[in-house]
Amino acid sequence: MSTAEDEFDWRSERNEDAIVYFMRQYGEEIKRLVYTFVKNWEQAEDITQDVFVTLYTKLDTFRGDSAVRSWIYTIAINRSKDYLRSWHHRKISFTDKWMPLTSASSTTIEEDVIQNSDNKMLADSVLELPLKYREVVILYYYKQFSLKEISSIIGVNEGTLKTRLIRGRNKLQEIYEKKGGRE
Amino acid sequence: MEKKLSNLNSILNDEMSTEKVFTAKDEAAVLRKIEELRYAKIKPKRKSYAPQVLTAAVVAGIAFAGYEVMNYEKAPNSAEKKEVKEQFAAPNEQFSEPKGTVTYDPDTKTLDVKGSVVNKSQHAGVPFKMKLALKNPSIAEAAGVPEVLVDVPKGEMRAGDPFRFASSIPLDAEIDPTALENGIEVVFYNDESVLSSYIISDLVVNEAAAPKATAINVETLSEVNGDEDTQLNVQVTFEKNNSAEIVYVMNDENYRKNVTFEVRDENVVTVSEDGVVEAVENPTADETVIIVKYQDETGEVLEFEVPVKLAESEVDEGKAAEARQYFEGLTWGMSKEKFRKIVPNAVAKNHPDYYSMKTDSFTHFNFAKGDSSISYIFKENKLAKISISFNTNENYDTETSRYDAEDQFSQLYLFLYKIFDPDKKNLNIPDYSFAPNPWNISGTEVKVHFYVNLEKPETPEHDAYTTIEIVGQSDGQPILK
Repeated sequence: MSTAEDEFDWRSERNEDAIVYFMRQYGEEIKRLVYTFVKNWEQAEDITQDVFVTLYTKLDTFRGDSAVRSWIYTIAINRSKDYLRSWHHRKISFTDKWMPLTSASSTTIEEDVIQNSDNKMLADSVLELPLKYREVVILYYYKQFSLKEISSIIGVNEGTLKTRLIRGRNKLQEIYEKKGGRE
Repeated sequence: MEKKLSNLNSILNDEMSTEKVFTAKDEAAVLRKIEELRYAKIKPKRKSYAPQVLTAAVVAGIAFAGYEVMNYEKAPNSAEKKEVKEQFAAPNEQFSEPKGTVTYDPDTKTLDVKGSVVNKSQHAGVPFKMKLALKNPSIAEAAGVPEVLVDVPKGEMRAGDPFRFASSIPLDAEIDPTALENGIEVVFYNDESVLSSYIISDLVVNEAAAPKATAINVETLSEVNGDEDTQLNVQVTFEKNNSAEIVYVMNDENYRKNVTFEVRDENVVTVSEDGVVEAVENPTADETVIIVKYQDETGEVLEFEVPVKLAESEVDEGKAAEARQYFEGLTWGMSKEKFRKIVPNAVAKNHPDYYSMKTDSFTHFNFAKGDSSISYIFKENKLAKISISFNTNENYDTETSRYDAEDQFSQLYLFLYKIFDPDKKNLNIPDYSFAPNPWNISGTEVKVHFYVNLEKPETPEHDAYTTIEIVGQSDGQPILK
């Protein structure tokens, strides 16, 4: 896959300029990715900002063995998992158990209709998957990485990923059907 | 589903928000934080654009999540003790490759039968029960147990599932072990018909060697293959004749056939399909290291060591403490008066010697749901039996979760052990591997019974024992013996 950094020589730029470039290039997808992990926009915002600050501090150590995009994904996923493991998350999860998928301002009739649609059910079902399945499904189907790329991003071998993908899909089907989703 | 998932990108993006979520505000916040870092003079200096050579220190470590070693069932050290042992054989139509042993102990006049069978795929889903029958009528009469029903999990046994069974049959009288040659019949049946049976024959009578090691179980949960969710549960049982049996449970079935065990003395054994390994010669309880070799789908072989030694269990102390409040201060043989002071919430039900109370102490185990209850039974005004009852979660019937359930059950036993018998002096918790298979008890009621037989105080190691009952449709009323 041709990536944006192929055309942009970030190594010849100041780190600050490179970060601005990366934010504009990947900020949107990273924040959406983080949301699929933490299911909370406020936390997704904090974590995403943190990802780019981390990227800035580590930029000089980047070896260039993989695409910057994969590297940013690795940082984002690790940060998200750190958060999910944190005491803070566990504490607030009691009071903040469920956040709606759509943003808080989505209150129009049209959006209500969408919320009841199959797509909404599918999206909700994906977010309800256990984390180990969700991350593979998200990276494979949503972010469209290959299993090899996912393997390098989350550090799990491809065989295990294949298994998780199959099980994740089956589990997803189960949840989706329970919600009344149609094939 | 595959087709729908191929559109997941647009579906999720639309459902999350059709507007930009990463805004100029985020950008500004990041740049502000970077500025703060620069002012704090911790901005890293770029050394070179060339890829840097990094030295990776790989720390290979296996985080063994916990061990639990149990010393129990001290074998009588009798030189005259005879042991009858036979490997099960003869695969039949319903269950393939039954394996196991029958041991007759003339000192205690008990016949211990344990083994395992694997369900053949063409008979998947057939509910079954099992019984052991003494084939020789005269022996059966003398022994007083013409047939013994073995607890089998209610529900279906899936294709390829191993089922491990164990039964200790107390006999009324000592029997001539050689007469058992005619033998013991193991019968699998359901409500409609006998599914299959086989007879243990050609028994070999041996003078039992003096026991060198008592039975020891080691449970190890290890991370393997870098996948924190793939766990290998290795259990090593040292038998009194100084051989060992290794039973493992891999919670990811894709890898179950790719595990081998190697003992430090370089005996290598290969795991059979049902996970029971042939005996390893001459292991030493405190010294032996089991090397587990684990091959993944790519052919890569990983290995790690399982040291066999005493260690603490993985039981969550917080949870144990939470549940322990219901049992704190209870002792076997406690008088009813004292019991009422310690457990005032227990309510007398149906029988003057039967008290029970509701609790949610066990719902923190993933397989349990809703209220659980604890009942206390007195015999001759002394506390003689405690039963715990809980309902299993009906979600525990899926392929992916059944191994989790088995692991959870192992944890439950460790947990109960800690509560009831932290000094490991009184209770004989059943061997994990031979406990009822939890895979098929989804959505049913399970009871764990702790008994104390006050009539045999002279043998304290054996006067308390535990059974696990899958209640199913029964009303679960306690039986006073």
